[in-house]
Amino acid sequence: MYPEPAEVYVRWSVVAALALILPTVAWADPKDDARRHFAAGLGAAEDGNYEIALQRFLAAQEAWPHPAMLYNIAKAYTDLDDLPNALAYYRLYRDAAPDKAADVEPIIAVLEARLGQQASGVAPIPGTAGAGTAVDGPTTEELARLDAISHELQALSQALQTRSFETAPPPEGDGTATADGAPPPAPDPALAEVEFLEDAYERVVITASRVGQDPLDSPSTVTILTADDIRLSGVLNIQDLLRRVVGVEVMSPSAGHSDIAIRGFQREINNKVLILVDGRSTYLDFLGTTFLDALPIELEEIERIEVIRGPGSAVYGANAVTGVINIISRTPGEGPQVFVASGGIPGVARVSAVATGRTGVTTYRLSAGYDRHGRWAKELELDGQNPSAVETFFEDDDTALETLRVNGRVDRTIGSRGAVSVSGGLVNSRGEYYNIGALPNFGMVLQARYLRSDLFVENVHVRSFWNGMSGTTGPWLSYPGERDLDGEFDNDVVDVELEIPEQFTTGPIEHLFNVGGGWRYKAVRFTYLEGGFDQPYVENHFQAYVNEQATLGRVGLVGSLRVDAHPLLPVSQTISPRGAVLVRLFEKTSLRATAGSAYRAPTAIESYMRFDLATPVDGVFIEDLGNLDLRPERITTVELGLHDESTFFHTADVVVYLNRVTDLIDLSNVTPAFNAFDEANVGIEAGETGWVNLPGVSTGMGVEGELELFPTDGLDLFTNASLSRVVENTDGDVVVNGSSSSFKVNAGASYRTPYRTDVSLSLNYLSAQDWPIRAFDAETLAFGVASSTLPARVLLSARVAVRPFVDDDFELAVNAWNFTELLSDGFREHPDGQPIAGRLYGSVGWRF
Amino acid sequence: MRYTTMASLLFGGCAYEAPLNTVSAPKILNAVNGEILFAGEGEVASTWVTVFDANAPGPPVGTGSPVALAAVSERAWSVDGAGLRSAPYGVTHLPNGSWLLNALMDSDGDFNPLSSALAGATCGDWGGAYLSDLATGTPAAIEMRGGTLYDDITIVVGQQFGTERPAFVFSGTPALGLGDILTGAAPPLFRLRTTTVDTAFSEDLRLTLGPACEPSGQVPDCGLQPVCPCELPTLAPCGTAFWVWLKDTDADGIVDPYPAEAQAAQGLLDVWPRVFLEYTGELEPFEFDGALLSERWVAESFPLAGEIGVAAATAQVPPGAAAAAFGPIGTPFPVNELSVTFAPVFRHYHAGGTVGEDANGPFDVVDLTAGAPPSDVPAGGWAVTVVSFTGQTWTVPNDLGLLGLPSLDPDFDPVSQGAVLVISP
Repeated sequence: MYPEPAEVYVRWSVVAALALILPTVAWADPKDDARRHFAAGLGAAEDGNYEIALQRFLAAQEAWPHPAMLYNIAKAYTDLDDLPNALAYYRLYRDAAPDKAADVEPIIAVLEARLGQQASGVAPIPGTAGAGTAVDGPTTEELARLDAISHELQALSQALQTRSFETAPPPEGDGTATADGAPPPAPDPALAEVEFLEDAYERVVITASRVGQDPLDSPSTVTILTADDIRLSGVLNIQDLLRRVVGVEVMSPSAGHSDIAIRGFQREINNKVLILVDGRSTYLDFLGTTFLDALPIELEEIERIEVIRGPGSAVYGANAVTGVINIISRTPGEGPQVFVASGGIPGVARVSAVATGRTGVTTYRLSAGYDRHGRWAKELELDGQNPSAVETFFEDDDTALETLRVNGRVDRTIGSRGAVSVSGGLVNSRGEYYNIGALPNFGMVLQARYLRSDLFVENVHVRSFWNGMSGTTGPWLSYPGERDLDGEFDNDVVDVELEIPEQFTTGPIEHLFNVGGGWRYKAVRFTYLEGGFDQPYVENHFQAYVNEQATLGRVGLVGSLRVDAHPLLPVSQTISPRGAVLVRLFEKTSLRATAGSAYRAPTAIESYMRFDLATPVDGVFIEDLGNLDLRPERITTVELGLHDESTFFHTADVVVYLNRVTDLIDLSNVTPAFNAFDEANVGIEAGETGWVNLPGVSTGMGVEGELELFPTDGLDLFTNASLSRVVENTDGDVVVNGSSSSFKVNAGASYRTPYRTDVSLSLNYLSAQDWPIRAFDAETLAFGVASSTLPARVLLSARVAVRPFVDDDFELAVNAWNFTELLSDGFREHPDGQPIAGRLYGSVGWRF
Repeated sequence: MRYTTMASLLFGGCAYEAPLNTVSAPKILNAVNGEILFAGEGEVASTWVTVFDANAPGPPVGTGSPVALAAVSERAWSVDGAGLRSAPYGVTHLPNGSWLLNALMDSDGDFNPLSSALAGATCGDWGGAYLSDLATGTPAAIEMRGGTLYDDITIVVGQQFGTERPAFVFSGTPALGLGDILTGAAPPLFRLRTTTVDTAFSEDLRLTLGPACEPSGQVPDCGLQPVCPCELPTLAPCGTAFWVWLKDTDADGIVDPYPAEAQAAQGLLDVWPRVFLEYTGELEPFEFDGALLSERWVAESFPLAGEIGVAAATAQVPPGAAAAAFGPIGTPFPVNELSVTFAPVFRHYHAGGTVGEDANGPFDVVDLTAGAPPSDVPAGGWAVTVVSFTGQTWTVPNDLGLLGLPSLDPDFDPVSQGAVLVISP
């Protein structure tokens, strides 16, 4: 009825090989299937049905190996009185999780003793095996295989340990080990008292409170996109994956530039979402955005992406206004080596390689990649034109984006309670950007780099990083004699932060507490700032935060507070509190009520700008001025959400929210002026515009719902929808902000068939948008606002992937992104943007 | 197989050529570059190149507004070995069409194309144009169709404005009835009077015109010669004036016919200043239309000899003949009051300028005397522009009447510059 020990080894060897050596698991990545089997196994065990439990645990282990599953399999064998197999799995567990060896050694000792007694003739069990026994033990070959598997499991275990440093230190004081790591006195080894482990395949959210926690305990609304989602979607960049997240809007005016908005307030240069990579801010403080395509990270080295909707300044400080997106990379040493290449239309070429490995206690991950995207459309047909009549920023007028990236990270554990991590990356990119402020279609050549170090000692984490970006920019098209708008920028950010998370209990209350503080140095030089490129602007910021989550039974209370010292803002304008009440209505169902506040600090452009904005009339310009007296944009959000994972087959979340936004920063109307000829700027200044805080209050409200289903092995379904409305009340002038879609729907399915073929389909619907577009009125020589409507649109994508060879390491895929527009003119996501074309491309991948 | 597949996919990506954006209109690529040559005397100054639709030329030939501008810094001027001073210029974003290029060197620093009050040559400025014949001063048009680039167009600046702009105010109630014009029931007249102007637009920009010239009987020799009456001690304080000139090119003592055949056929004579009416609709503060060639209604009026008291009599006289009652013939002379009669013949320009041509050309003629109903002509406020023979202009209303700037001369009331000529059906 139950697997024999030899069968155990054979099965496990296959499982482990598939999991850690051969690519089947790496291709399929069916963690959701494993989670479902695991939960079903726990349920069966709770009901006393250990046979079903065993089958489920074995299935989970086959789908996605996990050390805890070895333990549970062993426990199930124990409960079924199959002690040889129980012993074998406990040993596997001990080898796979050496830090837990002290927990399991007494059990192994008991089993060995009992089996020894049986082997000595007391009660022999035919067909069983165990260490120290000679009865029907595994063959030498099987033992060798077992040994190999054990090494792989150790690697997996160490990887998991390393990952824990990213999230939260292992809980202490649980009685499993003394302070010096020595095993505690052997407990009563009565096997009946051994309990199943319940912490496998847990969904973990880091970003909500900067500590790892169950999404059911998250005070913020969160969506997690996994590596599996990335692979099965076949997307070529992060932003196209983010389109599927409820409440998130991606606006791509060109194939080289995308902006992300969460819960409305979509605009050019979206500055209200903070994007992190492993907790490192990628926010370009001088512009107020993140160039997603200039991030030195490969899609294939992303472990998951956490999308927090709602304010995040209480733990992240400025600029986490409507949401936080944290891109979390794979732990070095974990997962396969990857090589992927893609090519197709329009002008798609992509190559990506990720290498990862381990040397002793040192793990590493190296990656490199190249991306090219063709322009969706050209604004001019240069062929046949006088080549001197227009100049393009790049000689190649068909490329919207070209990026070359390298990235690397090395982790090393120090003793039993410490670790250090060093990482760095470099990006060279040239691309096409739209609407940098009031400027239209621009080209940019940039180099981005970062260096980062993390030091963990016990539960103290010191993180420091340097972000640098420099480059040149200029109009995509320029005409002889036209005002020179070329610019140069150089931006550096140094950030040092200390954070101390702590888990402890006081009586019946469990505390998840973290406190931190830091310093950030920012220096920027930019042609468009007062004084030009030769004038550096330096700011020093200091910050401190505290976060406490206290749980008593089913009720949890969260309190967070962050204060920043910003050189241009009084401290009182940076205070960002958050409070939440979490109630576990059921074991896997939680209700959360959260109120929080966040702010966006003025960017360097908004503070220091001095730029002669060209008009369509040569010789006439408008002075664009920064403002040192700006108040930060402020959002206050109240939301009520329900998160449910009460079955093995689904996760669901629904949330209603209300946003109140004040002090939005925007360019003022032009104040006309009549001035004499400006010799320095060669022309006449027609007036001034500058950055101002808009009066009044904007109110956003909405409801978001999402549902993920995992009905059977290999099949994942998701759907989500949001309904939102943003009303701007500017001194009594009430306007509905239409630049964000009020209704959004996403749906998708992916099926990993048993025939080495994956099929995926996704839908992204956005209702119509009505953009206020700032346009130059040549009659009044001023900027006015004109309304421009974008119709509702549907973006459909599909992917079919086949792994033709038995070794399963090689994959061929055909991807059709936005395929309904492959044969039509495309749709726009910004009125001034290009029509978004479909993409058809093939991919070859090799994972080993 | 793996590598050939990958290679073919990558090759397909790299060989990509982006399609033309057929959704939005293609940008206009026309541009013109060249040099400005200064053939005058004295210091160079910042200079503006203005581009006019050849079918709607600027003053003095027509009433058009520039469709594009280019600024040339004083620092851009250089001197070659022969002592010739030149500066490069470039004009971009020109629509398709036929264009005339002019240039204005702003010697006194009071030119600003954004203001209807400042967008004109004042006494002492230098003017020039792209000419097909330097000897005759005949302007040349350049033709442009998608993607044209001229990079060797030379503009010669060598003509100094020797008179001041004809700044004026309405004298009396500026109103006309189209029906009255057609029936002759009331004199189709309105009256203009010169004025001084002294206003500060900003710390570094002040417009000072005048004081008004008091005709002394002495006729200055300032025609098209580089002589500036306002700088001549003998004529000081001669300032703003209507310079009347009954052209007599052949010196036969008979005023020349109007240079355009259509008007000449009506018996009109070549008399300066020209006076034009332009329908304002809703008043815009700026004269300069930028790249927008909007729909325009324009009509031409004619100065009359004598005062309004004789209007009833002159109403029965053809405008050209009435103008000919001025004297002397053949030599410009200043007056500070002008009665203007009105010929109900309108030009309705298409939006888009030459791009907007229909079968009738860039504009349609609505001639009430030929039977067109008065309702075809928009009623309401019309701007009046006086064009001097030098090409200098003054328009009322202008932004002096709209901006509320304080007057620095007690004799000048900026409010007067906000008036319109009201034409009713």
